[in-house]
Amino acid sequence: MLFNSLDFLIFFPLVTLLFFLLPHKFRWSLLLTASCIFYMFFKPVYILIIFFTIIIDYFAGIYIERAATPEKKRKLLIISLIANIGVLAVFKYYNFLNSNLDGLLSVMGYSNPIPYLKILLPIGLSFHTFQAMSYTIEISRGNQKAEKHFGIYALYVMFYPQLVAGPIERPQNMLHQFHEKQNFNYELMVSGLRLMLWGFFKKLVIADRISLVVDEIYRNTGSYSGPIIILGCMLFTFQIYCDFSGYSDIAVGSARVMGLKLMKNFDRPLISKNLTEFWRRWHISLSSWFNDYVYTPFVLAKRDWGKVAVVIGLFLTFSISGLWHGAGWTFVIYGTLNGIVLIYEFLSKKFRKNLSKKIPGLIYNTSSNLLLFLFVSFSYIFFRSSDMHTAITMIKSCVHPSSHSIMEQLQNLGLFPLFIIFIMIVYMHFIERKFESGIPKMDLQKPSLERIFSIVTLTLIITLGIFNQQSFIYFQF
Amino acid sequence: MRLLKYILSVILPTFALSYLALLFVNSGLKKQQNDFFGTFNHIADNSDKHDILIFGASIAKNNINPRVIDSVSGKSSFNCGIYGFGFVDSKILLESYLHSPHPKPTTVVYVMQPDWGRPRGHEITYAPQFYPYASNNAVYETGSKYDDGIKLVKYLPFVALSKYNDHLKYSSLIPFVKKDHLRKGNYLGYEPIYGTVMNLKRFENATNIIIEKDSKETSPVQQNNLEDFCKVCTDNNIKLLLVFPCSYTTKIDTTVDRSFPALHKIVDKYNVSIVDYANSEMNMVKSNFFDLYHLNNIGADKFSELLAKDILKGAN
Repeated sequence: MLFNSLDFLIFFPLVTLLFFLLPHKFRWSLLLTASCIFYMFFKPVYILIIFFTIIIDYFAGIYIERAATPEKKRKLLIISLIANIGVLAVFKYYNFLNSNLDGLLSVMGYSNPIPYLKILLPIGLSFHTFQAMSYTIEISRGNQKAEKHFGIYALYVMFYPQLVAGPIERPQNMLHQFHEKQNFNYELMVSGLRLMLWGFFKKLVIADRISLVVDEIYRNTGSYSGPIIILGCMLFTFQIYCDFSGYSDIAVGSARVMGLKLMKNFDRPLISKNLTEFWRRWHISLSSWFNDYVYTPFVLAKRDWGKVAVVIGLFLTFSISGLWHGAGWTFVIYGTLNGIVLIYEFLSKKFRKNLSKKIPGLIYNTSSNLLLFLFVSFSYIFFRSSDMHTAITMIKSCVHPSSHSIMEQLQNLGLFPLFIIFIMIVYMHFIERKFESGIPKMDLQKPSLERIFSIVTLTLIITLGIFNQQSFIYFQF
Repeated sequence: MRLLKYILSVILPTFALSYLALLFVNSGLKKQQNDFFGTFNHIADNSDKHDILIFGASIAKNNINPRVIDSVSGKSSFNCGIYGFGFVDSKILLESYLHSPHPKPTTVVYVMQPDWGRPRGHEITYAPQFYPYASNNAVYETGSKYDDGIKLVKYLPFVALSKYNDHLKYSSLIPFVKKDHLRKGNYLGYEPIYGTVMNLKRFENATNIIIEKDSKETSPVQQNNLEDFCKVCTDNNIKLLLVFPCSYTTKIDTTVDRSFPALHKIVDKYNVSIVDYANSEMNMVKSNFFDLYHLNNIGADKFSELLAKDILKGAN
């Protein structure tokens, strides 16, 4: 079920109402049933895949906890991880690996006998698989007790607001909340609704509107000149931010309405001054997952290598992170590019610190922010392109002339929609700067201002929203 | 209770604001004088009387100059052609004209597409264009059969803006920011194409273009839609001419008959006249055309003269 659908408009109030009407002991079953329904709106049969990993990890968790020796714990953890990664490998990476094998064998003059799988990627697979893995890893580390209640554990993996596109939660944050009784809380309810509203604004008014422009530019790259292609790349950065952070806001908000707290997934990443800061603010739940379970363990294990460990750790982590996003070389390059720049930032930390002292703060910060934005927009060319050929065409087109003037090209894209996009981005920036994206503190200070914000935002959604039920970009991962 | 109060305090002003925005947008659209809105505003709200109304898609809008028709026939005509329009859209326009306090027209000309029998997939070309007029009975009666948006917009006007797309919102601003929004040369609904250079490569170098005989494809839906249009004319005692206009050819083929066997049944049933210009000498004069099916302003004037004479014959 899409958040931006009529189904959700009925589903959400109904589930929330029932949640508060039911006694606490039945609430987990309500939420689990609702989560199953939510997921089965996409492709019902794929729920079996989730159940498969739930059963494996549920028992793995219990046995890891009971295991007498660290060695036994490690073996059980490996079994659990293989099961989870195996599911990912089959459904997400099998055809990708097979096509690469295909290419390799054809270079050597052989044909590939291995058939391709004709399956659709289950929606949100990477998200709930990573969430399930964090559970068994945390138990093996002794940070979390195994959950004995099967239904509660299943709900931890399947909780509908974050099931298909995160935030990728940790068991320490979520499991205890399902055991605790949530009473109706007016402040939380209003704050949750407001966050949802903000998420819908970013998705329907900005992301989906930008997608019309960006899709047109990617479809007809040859018709546009360099400046317009660059504009398209920059707009995609805003699109993906509004699309994904919009989803996260709706997810966090809808959980908050029921008194449940999900982790913050975005913290205004586009104001970052370097890529290290950007990744601390962007898709926080994934960045911290990779940091906790891949990067830090690697660097700690190889600490004798000194800086080399950090360099290799960053490179590996971000290459894997790229591959996490999608099974394709474009995603690997996207991740690797980020890794390379992060390595540069790590190695040039001292130099940049000295430089910042010599240049006036405003100029240094603004140019750093601009450079970062340009890099992020460039790296998203690989993220957005369906294949390497498209990505290379887009990059080449950045210096492509056109027989039409810039104004004619802008008119073709629609001056009015572009104007609206510009104004809405400014509005978003203003609101997120003034009130923080979660907007929790403003209602305590100025309730009337907060209400005006809600009225204006809702009016903007009604008047300028695009209601074509466009899917969220991160659903494909 | 507190939550309900909060929700109402947000939602009610939002509805009011959205409704105000809708009024603003609609008032802009109703000030429009060109394109769809100009045509609709003229035929539905204007008290000008017209004896001859011309309907169809771009080959009506670009090919027929009502001023020429008026000067030849001595009657008053108006070109209701709209880009991409089919039988259902045109029927809505015609019914809107008939519902308004005008005297009825004596003649209606429908300019037929060469492939009129081919299924369209959607009967209303661009439904949101009709949303500002959802309260118009003619629009609602026919339009709501094909598009649920029209129902929604009529009964829940404040949500209409969410159904309006950027094109409509932008169009609504034009009369406010640009007072002289009547496009140059756009008069009585006619939109001439200037210039005699044929701009399509396929067309520029063409040496052997012939008007195709009928495609034999006659979708039952399209037949029904045409019948519905004919019925409106018959019921109102309006003479209907179905016109196959000039189209470019390098060789006149006198055996061409674009009027499809299916069309003859309808013609007989409703006493409709067919005028086909497949054999007109005009078709071979390249300088009359903009592309294969669209005449330039010079060609449109010549064609309008021919048509005016045939209208007079048909009307008599």
